[in-house]
Amino acid sequence: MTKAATAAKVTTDVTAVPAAPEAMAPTFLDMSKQPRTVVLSGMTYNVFPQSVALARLGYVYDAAMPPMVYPQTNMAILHMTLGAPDEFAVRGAREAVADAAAIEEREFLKSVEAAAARMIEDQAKAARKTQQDAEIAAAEAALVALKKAAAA
Amino acid sequence: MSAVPTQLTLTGPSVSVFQQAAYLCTQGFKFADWQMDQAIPSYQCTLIMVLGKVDAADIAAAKKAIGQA
Repeated sequence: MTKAATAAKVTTDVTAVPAAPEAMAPTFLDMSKQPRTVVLSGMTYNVFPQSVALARLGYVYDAAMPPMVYPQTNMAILHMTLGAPDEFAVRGAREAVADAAAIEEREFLKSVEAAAARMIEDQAKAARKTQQDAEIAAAEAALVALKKAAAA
Repeated sequence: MSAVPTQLTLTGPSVSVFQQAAYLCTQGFKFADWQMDQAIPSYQCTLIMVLGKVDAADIAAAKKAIGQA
């Protein structure tokens, strides 16, 4: 994390993160007290989750300062600025959500169909077994009857 | 958005992908994984995002970063 000259007081209480992200959205007053830009730097596994928290506090990734990620060292530098994502990004994100939802729905339906097919197969197998058992019992009964008849 | 997936993948130039990610963060998603080959602004990157809360420690660190900025 980089240090800057002015320190901003953040009044938004986000210690307990609510289930709905809207609930932790800062008010305009809160945002006016926040610094315009924040730079996160460090290990990716620290920086990325922290950037999510900042995004939920009204920051976006600075388009003028592209995220720098160094796979070799696992370090990242993310420049974030107060603001809202542009319309193009929102549209793209919504499309990604819709695509992912469609894929998950297809996979869910596929798994339901597979489970239904397994159930039908199991039922058919059970029915065949019941029929075979009945045929065996009938054959055994007939054999016993024949033996009795032969013995008589 | 009628249905919300539990996971999604963003792929493309890093600048636009991160802009989309910023919006998704406000919709309840967070990063699950990221794959980037090079630290070049226009390079292709892949971000995997999942629905979920942000850890309290990460929120505290973010607040600290705001305080220090």
